[in-house]
Amino acid sequence: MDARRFGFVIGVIALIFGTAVALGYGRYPATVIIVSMLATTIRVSTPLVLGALSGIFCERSGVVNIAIEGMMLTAAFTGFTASLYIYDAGVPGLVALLLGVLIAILTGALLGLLHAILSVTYKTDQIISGTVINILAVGITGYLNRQLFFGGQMPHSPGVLPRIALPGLSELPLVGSIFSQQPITWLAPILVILVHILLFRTVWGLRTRAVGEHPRGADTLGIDVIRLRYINVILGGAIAGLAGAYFTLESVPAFEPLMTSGRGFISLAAMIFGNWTPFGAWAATLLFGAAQALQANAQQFEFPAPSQFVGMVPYVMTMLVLTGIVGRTIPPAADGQPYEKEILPPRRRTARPSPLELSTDGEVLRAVGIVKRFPGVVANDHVNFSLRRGEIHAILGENGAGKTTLMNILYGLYHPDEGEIYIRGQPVEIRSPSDAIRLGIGMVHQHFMLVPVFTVAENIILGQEVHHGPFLDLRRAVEEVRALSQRYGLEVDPEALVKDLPVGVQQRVEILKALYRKADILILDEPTAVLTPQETEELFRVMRNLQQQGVSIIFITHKLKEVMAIADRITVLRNGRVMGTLTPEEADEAHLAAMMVGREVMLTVEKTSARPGPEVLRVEDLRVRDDRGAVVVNGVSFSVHAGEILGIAGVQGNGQTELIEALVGLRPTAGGRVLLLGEEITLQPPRYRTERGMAHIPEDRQKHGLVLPYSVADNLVLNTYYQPPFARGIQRQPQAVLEHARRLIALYDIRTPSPDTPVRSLSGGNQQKVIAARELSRPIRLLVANQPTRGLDVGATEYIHRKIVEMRDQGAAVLLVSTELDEIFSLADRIAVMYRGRIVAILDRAEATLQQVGLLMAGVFPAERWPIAQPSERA
Amino acid sequence: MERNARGILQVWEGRLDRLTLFLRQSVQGGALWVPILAVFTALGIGGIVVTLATGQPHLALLAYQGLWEGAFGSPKALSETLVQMTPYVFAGLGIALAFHGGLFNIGAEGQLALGAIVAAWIGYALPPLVGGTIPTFLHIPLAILGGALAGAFWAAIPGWLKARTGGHEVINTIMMNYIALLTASYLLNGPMRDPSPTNVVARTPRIAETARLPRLFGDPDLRLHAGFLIALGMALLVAWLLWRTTLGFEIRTVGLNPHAARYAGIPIVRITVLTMAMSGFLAGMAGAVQVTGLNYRHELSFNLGYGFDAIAIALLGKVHPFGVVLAAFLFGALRNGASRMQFLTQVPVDLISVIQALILMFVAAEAIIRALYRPLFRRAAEAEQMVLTRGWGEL
Repeated sequence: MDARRFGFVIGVIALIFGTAVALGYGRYPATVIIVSMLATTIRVSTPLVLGALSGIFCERSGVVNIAIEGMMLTAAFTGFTASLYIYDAGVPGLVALLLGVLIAILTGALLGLLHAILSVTYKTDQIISGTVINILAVGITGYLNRQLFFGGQMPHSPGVLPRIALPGLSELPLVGSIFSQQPITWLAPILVILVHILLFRTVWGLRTRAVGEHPRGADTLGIDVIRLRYINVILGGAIAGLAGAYFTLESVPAFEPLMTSGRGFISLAAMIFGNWTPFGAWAATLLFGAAQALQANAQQFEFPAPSQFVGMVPYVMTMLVLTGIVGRTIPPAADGQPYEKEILPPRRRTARPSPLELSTDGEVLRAVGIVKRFPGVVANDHVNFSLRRGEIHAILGENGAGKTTLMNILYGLYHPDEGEIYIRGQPVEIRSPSDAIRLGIGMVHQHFMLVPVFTVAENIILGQEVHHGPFLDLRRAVEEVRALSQRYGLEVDPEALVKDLPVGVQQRVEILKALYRKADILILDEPTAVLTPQETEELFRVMRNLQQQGVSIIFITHKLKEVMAIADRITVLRNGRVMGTLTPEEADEAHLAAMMVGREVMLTVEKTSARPGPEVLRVEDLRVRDDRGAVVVNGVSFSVHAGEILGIAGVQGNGQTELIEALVGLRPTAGGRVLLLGEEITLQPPRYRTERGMAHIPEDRQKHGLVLPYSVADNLVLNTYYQPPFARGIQRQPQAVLEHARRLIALYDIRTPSPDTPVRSLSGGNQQKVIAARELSRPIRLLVANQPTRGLDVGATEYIHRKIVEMRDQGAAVLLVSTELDEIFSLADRIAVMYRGRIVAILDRAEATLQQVGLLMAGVFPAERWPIAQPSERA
Repeated sequence: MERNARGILQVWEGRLDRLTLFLRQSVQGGALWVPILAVFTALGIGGIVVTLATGQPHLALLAYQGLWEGAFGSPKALSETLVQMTPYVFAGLGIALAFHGGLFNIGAEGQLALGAIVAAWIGYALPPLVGGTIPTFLHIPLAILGGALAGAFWAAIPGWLKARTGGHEVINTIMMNYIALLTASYLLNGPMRDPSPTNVVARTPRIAETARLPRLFGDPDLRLHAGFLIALGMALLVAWLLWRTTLGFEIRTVGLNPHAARYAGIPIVRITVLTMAMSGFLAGMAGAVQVTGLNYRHELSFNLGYGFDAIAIALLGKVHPFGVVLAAFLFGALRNGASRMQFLTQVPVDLISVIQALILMFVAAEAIIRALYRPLFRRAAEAEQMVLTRGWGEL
C-alpha cells in the first residue's frame, strides 16, 4: 500500500474521531470519547484483521477465498459448543475456553481444506466454491444449533477469555484500559507482523507470491503449485477460524445464527483496499473499526437517526472503499481460476531399459520412440532425437509440428505415452521439472516464465533460494547472480524489477535461471520470435559462448535463415514425425522448407505494385496510454491510402498493440486525432467505425476476435448480428445466420464439420479464416490487420497473405502490423518503423533494406532523419 | 394452406430431432445424471448428519418419509410444493440470467425483500392515496411491476459499480443485501408497520383485495395462485430472450468473452447494468408475487434465505431456464416437506439448508460426483468446466 493511501486512511480515521468528539460535545470530555472510540476501534477491527490476513494467505497463492464469512461462522459455533461441553465435563473455565479456540481454529482449517479440495483439486470455480462453503456454514450451524440446543437445554457457559494487561502501561490513567485486552485482540497485530515477515522475508513467502503471480512459472522451477496452495488455504482457514473464535469466546459468550453479519466480506474489502499487504489491510480494518465505533457512540449519544441507518455505515463504507476510492485495482494474485496441469500417470512398474553403451560422439541426451497423444491428435509420433555434448541442435518445424510438445516432455511438463529418454547413457523418467533440473536440463520457454513484479535476483533464485534457515538472504543472492552474469557475459542488473526490463534482457534472465541451476543441456523454445535482428545476433553470440563452455543447446525455431546461421545439426519435424536430421552443409533453405511443409513452398508473395488512391485513414499526433497509464504511443502521425498496404514494423512491445487498439476504438486516446475518409472518429465507439467500413483482424484472435464456445455461424456475425437479415427488430434470424455461414464456409474454405460446430474445436488456421471471412466479406474501406499470421502454418499464412493483397487490389486501404520482418517486406508497399512509441521512419518498400529496417527497429538512427515516404504511383 | 401446415410440421420435426439429440447427449455426457446423483448423495449425507447429531439411525429414514409425505402426500401437499416453488423460479431465473452475462448476483436476497416491500406498499397504501380503489386489472400489474422495478433498481447499482469502477459484484451485492435488510427492518418497524392494536411483529398491513392474485382452484385448502403460471411464463420469456434475441446474444457474448464483446461493438457498461437490472427485476418479482399471491402482506422474517437458495437452484438447473424450473420444483418440495418432517420427527427444518448446500456443492464440483460414481460415467467424455465468475481484476 502506498503512502498516499495510508495518508488517506489516517485522514479518514481522524475525521471519524473528530465527528465523535463533536457529537459528544458538552456531555463528555473529548479525551474520554477518544479513548472509548479507540477501545471500540481496536475491538471491532480484531476479527476483520484476522479475516483479511486469511484472505491474504489464500489470494497471495492464487486462490480467491470468499468463504471467510462461512469459516468464521462455523468456527464461532464449533468453538463455542466445544467450550460448553468441555466446561460441562468439569474442566476449568480457562482451559475449556482455550480448547474452544483450538477447536475453532481446527474448524477453520478443515473448511480451508474443503475449499482447497473443491477449488484446487476439483477445479470448481473458486467463487462458487466459496459460496458453497458459506451456504453450507449457514445451514449446518443453523441445523446443529437447533438440534443440540432445542428448547434451551444449554450447558453453562465458561464465559469469555480474560483480559491480559500490559504491566505498567495498563496502569496509566485514562488510556490504561487500551493496554488491557483479551488474547485474540492481542494476537491480531502480532499476526499482522508475522504474516508480513512470512510473505516478504522467507523462502515460503517468495514461493507463495510466485505461485500466485505466475503458477506455471513456479511449476517450471519445480515448485509444487498444488501442495503450496493447499497449505496456504488451510492456514488461511485456520486464521479465519481464530477470527470466528473471537465472536463467541472473546466478545459474547453466546451463539446467534448469522452472527458474523458480513464481517468476512468486509475483511475481503479491507484486504483489497490494503493491496493484499498485511499492514495495508490492518490500516483498512482500523478504518472500519473506527466507523463502527462511531456508530456505537452515536447510539450512546442518542444521535437522531434510526439505528438501522447507523447500522448501514460499515456496509456502505465497504462499497465506497471497493469502488469510489479504490477503483479498478489490479490484484497481485488470485485470478480466480484453477491451475490446469497434466495429471501424472502412475509410476512405471515395468523393468527399466538397460543403460546405453556410451557412444563415442559424446551423446548427452537421446529420446527414442517418443509418442504423445492429445485428444484427437498425435503430437509426437515415434520421435527419435539425440543431442551431443557442446552441440547446437536446431529443431525446425511449423507451428503444431510437435516441437514444443517434445521439449515439454524432455522438461517434465508432459509425460510421454510411449518411449524412452536417456541422459548421458542412463535411462531416466522425467516426471516433473524438478527431475529435469536435477538432470541438468534447463529450458527457456517461448512465453517467459518470469514473475514480473520480482527482481531479477528473486526470479533467478526462486525454487533454489539462497537462505538462512527459513529466511531469504537477498543480499547474497544478488552477489551470486552478479557473479554468474559476469562469468557468462550476460549483462543484467540483479536488483531491477523484471517488468521494467526489455524483452531481450528478460530472455537473458531466463538463460541465467537455467545456468544458475547448473544446466548443461539448454532448451531454447523459439527464442528469436521476440527479438530484433540485432538482438538475435547478440543471442547467437551468447549461444556460441555457452557452446564453448560445454553447454549443449536445443534451439527451436521455424525460421530457416537462423537455422542455417547457427545450427550444427538440424532435425525437421512435421505433423509430429521426424522428417530427417541433417547438417547445414547438406541443406539449403528451399530444401528445408519443403521438408518442413511437405511440398514446394512459395517463399514470396506475388503482387503487383500499388496504385494508391485517395487517403482513407489519417492519424495526427496520436498519443495513447497503456493499462498502467504510461504513454506508449507518443505523437504518431501517418496516413494510409486506398489501394496500398502500409506495414508497421517494430519489435513487440513498442506501442503497436496500443496504437491499433486506439485506431479501432478499443482504447481511449490521450491526444491527437484519427480521421477515417476525412471524418474525425477519434471519440467514436468501435461499432461506429465498423459501420463505416473499418475491418479489424485482431492481434490475439482467441481473446478479441472470437467467442470460443460460440458456433462458427455465430462468430461469423459477431459484429453484424443486429443488422438485417441476421435480425428483425430484436428477434434474431437463425436461418439467415446459418445461410450466411454456409456461404462463407464454402467461399473461404473453412474446414469445419458444420456451421454449428463451436469455433473452439477448429484449428488455429481455420479460426483465423473465420475472422478473415467475417471481416473481409463486408464492403470495407480500411483493413487493420495486427499480426494476422501469428501461429499459423505455411498454408494458412499464404492464404491470409493472398487475401490481404486481394483487398488492396480491390481498393481498400490496409494497415498491417507485424513483428516478422519477412512478412512486412513481402506485403507492404510502404514500411513504417515503430520504436518506443514513435514512428521513427516511413520508407518506400522498393528502397528499404532489411539491414536498415532492423537497425531502426533497434533504435539505431543515422545522423540525419529518415525521410517520410509518401505513397507514390510507380509504373 | 397445406404447404404452410407441412412447413410447420417440418419445423416441429426438426425441433423434435434436436430435442432427442439433446436428451441423448445429456444422458451420455452425464449432464442429466450429475444433478440427479448430486441430489441423492446430498440426501444420503443429510441422513448421516441426522444420525450423528441424534444417535438414532432410523430417525433419518423417518424424517425422509415425512419429507416425502409433506411434499407430495396429498393434493394439498402438492399444491403447497408448487406454491413454495414459485418464488424460487423467479429468483433462480434471475441468478441464471446474471450468470449468462458473466455476473454473480448474490444479492437476490435484498432485491427480493425490496420487491416485496414495494409491492406491499402499492397493495395497501396506494388506493387511499389515489382516492379509494384501483381496479384489479390495474392494481395487480402495478404491484408486481413496482416490486420488480425496485429489485431491478437495487441490482442495477452494483451492476453499474462493476461496469464503471470494477468493484466486484460479489462483495457489492452482499453489502446491498445487508443495506436492504436494514432498510426493510426500519420500514417495517417504523413508517410501514401494521398499526392494528393486536400486531406485535414487524409487518405491513394487509394489501387491498384488488391487489391479490387469483387462486387457481376454488378449494380454500389449495393455495396455488396465478403467480405460478407467471413464473412458468417468465421461464419461457427468459429462454426466448437469451437465445432468440439480439439482446440475449449481447448478454451471452459479454458473459463468455468481454474482450470479444468490446471488439464486436457491444456496449459492455450498458449490457452489464441491464443484465443486473433484469436479474434484480426477476428477484424483485419473486418478492412481489409472494406478497400479492400468498401472504397478502410483507413481514420481516418472510422469504429469508430465498436469495441464497436461488443460487443453488440456478446452478442445479445448469443455468438453463427450464433446468431452473425443475430445480425450483425440487427445492420447493424440500422446503414444503420439511415442516411435516419436523412435526413427525423433531428434526429441525434447518436440515434442508444443509442438504441444499450439499446439493450445490456436488453440482458445482461435478468432478466429485463423477469420481464417486465412476462406473456410470465410464464412457462419458470429460465435461467442460463452466467458467461462471471472474476474479477481482477482470472486466
